[in-house]
Amino acid sequence: MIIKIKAFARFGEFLGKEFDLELDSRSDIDGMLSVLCASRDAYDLIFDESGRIREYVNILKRGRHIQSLDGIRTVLEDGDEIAIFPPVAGG
Amino acid sequence: MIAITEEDFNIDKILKDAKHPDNGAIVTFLGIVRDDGIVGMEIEAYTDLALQELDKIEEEALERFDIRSLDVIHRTGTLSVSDNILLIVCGAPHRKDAFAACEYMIDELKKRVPVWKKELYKDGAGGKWVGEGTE
Repeated sequence: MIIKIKAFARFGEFLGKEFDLELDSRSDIDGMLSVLCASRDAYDLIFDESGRIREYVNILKRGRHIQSLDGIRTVLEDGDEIAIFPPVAGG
Repeated sequence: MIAITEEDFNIDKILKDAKHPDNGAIVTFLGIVRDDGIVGMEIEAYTDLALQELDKIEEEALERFDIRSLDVIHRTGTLSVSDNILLIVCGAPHRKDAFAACEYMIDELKKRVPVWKKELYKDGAGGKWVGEGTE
């Protein structure tokens, strides 16, 4: 299956701003991050020393935060749009 | 009007449009690029979600305060010092609601709307994203 990744601010500079990602069917957020964070720099950006997603990392599936879904076990579907971004800082 | 755009906005026209007969007060907030030793800012938005969130905040403001018009325009792209970033225009029969709604709008926007700012330095050495997890 193919999902669309949109990453913003510094995350976009590390991961790429917008691109399609091919994953195995029934992949979840955890599996997606394994692919996205293959490099050490990208891993350190998203995960802390204990391997948990950093508090300031927001991950949304189709506009919904994964915390309101099944967290990193949120299952992905073909055509999903996943947004990854740090805390907002507009205004 | 709620908008996210690279184009600058015409404040006079927006104020003129806000002069509805029911309005006795119009409060305007204009955010501009401050010179903190920078040459400008790059502003990025998750536009689809940002517009949805701005719509929600607008609905909340209309429920909480007696206002008759609300305009919010946030710019994106590369801006120079003193360029306009954000315009909020609240029209209400009375000033207290206009002030309160304008403050509510900017406070909630800063907390909830997916927009990010990168400070651009004079020495040409790239820039720095504003906020936790962005630098």
